Amino acid sequence: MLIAIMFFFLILILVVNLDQANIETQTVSNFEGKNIYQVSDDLIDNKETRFFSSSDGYDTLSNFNNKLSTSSKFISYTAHWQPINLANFKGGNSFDPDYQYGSPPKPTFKLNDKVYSSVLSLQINDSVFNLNHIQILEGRKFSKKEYIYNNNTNKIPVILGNDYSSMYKLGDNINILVYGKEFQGHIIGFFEPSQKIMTSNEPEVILDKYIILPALTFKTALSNYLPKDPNAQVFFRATLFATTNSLLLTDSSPLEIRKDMDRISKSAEFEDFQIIGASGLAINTLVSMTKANLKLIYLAIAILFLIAMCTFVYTLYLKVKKNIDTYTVLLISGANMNYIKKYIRAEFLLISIIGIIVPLIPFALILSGSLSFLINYLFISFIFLIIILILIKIVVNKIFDKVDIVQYLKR
Amino acid sequence: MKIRRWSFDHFLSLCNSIIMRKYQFFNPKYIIYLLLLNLCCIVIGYALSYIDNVNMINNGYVNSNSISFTTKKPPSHPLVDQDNYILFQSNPESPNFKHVILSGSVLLPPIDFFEKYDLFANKKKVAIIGEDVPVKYVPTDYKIIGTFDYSNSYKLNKDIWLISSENRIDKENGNFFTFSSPERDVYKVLKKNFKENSIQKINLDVYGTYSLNSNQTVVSALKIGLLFINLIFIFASFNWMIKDKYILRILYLSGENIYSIFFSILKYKLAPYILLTLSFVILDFLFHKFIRIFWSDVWLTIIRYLIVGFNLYLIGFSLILIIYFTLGKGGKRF
Repeated sequence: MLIAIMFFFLILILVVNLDQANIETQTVSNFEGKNIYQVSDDLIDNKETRFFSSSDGYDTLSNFNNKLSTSSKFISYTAHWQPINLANFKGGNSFDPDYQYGSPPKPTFKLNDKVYSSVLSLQINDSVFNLNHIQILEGRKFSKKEYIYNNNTNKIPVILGNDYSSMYKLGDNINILVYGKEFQGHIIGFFEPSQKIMTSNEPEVILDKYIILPALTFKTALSNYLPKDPNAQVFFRATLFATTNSLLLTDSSPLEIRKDMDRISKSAEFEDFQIIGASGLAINTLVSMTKANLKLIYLAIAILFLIAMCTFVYTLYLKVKKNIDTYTVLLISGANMNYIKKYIRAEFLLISIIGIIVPLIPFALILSGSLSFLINYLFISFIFLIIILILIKIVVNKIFDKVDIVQYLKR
Repeated sequence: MKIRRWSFDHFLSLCNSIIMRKYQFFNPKYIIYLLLLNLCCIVIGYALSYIDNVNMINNGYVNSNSISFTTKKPPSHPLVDQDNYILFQSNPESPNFKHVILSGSVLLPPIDFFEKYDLFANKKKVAIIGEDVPVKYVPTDYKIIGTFDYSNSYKLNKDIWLISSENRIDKENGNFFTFSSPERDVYKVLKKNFKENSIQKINLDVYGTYSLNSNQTVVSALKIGLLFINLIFIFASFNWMIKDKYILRILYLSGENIYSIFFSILKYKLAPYILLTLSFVILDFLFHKFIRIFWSDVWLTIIRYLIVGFNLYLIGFSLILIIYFTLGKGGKRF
């Protein structure tokens, strides 16, 4: 009985694992074979100052960004790495942007009675959620409205990585500084552990220690509310740049992309940018690595599976052999061979069914897994049940042929 | 039902059959079954070592139990060639530019050398670069002798390893270190070889296949499978031992003493199994001593201990059974 339980438990683990591996491969396949281009603006130093000397520059760039996001020729993917400052943070150095590289943490500073420390953060747009299959533990992702900047409020929705879940809860408000502008971050969700997304600099960023902000776009003309103070303008400039310098995912060739971008550039009247082929090599490597991992997993699963199967069948065989005495007694008391075989099969069926159901209990409690896992598991268990029944039939017939019952009884 | 009566004639005929006892003891089915279980353990051990190897290479040749740290005052001469380790030194601003110190004999990632070269008997300044690295990034006093031959690791593809023959640590090269060792207790090896004055450990995130959930689940499943096989082994060997309880009783009653019974069990029943498994363990140990195919032997060592442990368990358990069925049950001896 124990062995039946363990066997089906292993099958459960393997099914869940295969599903997970398939999700991972699908995720990277979203990027496989696509051409990835990076838009890179030319506005530096003097050019930048001149461009933004009047508020028209802001409107032009905003218009360009909106056309970029809504184009049907490519997917605009924004994942902009930009540390922010978090007030009264007790989390420790590992959340500092420089920690992973070994540099000492950035010093904290005081502003308006709050002590701000530097933490990791990314600004992302909606396509990042879909393409990376990000799984959210509790809460929700950003709604379409939340990607639009609202000048009337300083509240901004944030999603936190899993390492923050011990320090904050859903619905809390945190005080953050984004490009020097104060915001109230409203926590709308937490990510599952070890979620990864692709960015332009790094093919993999693990989100556990990150605060995620929406990459803001502007639907009304900025000139209406642009502050006069140049320091306050930094926020708007940097937010615009974040969306301008996004990645474009498309099947188009470089020539076609250039034509599409020319069209957008003309209609938005903004030409100060370049299209460069971005880190395509690293993405391809990520894809091949994930696929190789899948093969490895299939192999490991096949090995483990074979072991479990052989053991299970052998144990059934031993069990039948051991119980031959019981069966002979039954035979003496008038049962016939067919009845005995049916009896054995029913016994094993019962054990197997218990074996199938028992692993489901911890699974339902702990993992609260999705329905598809459950259905896959039941389906595969059912197939195995049938295989086992057939095997039992063969094994039982073989044993009873070998052991001549009548001769045995004579002893 | 016949009632068995212990008559002397009966007993004599039984004794005759017991003289054939070596054939009674020797049960090929059980031995094959237990050997198969051992084979499964070995396969799992190799699979776990292989997966860890692949994960390590995918993560830029940093193992999950490697130690990353910064220190303001690194020693200029670490101990080399007493233990096995790899030490990376890099600047936080350019983490792909690594100065490497190799000590002892460690497994290197797959490298495509331009001409045959033994890195462990290195006499000059050499560099190994990844596929995506432009040659001009390598400083001119280092000669490029090969590239990494593993295209699935985006981290390795961007790496430059600079190895020189003088195993000195130059503070100019950066204060960010990563120490990897195939020994079990990496921190102990670090303290011994790298006379640190003050180490600030950094908990590096692991990337590549280490962070994939499916990979982590497979590793856990293999470990559970190993536990499972141990349980089956104990159960099956119990059945195997118990089978002979009547023979033990009869041997005892016919005048044999415990030690000779124990010795015949060892000779006729357990010997083939013990010989085969112990010879495998010795061969495996020698093989891995001279040829390195995995980064770390931790899992293989565990499996070897497990197999030897099984043997000891069988021997011990059979002794206990003998004592239980003979002295324990007493009886009139002829």
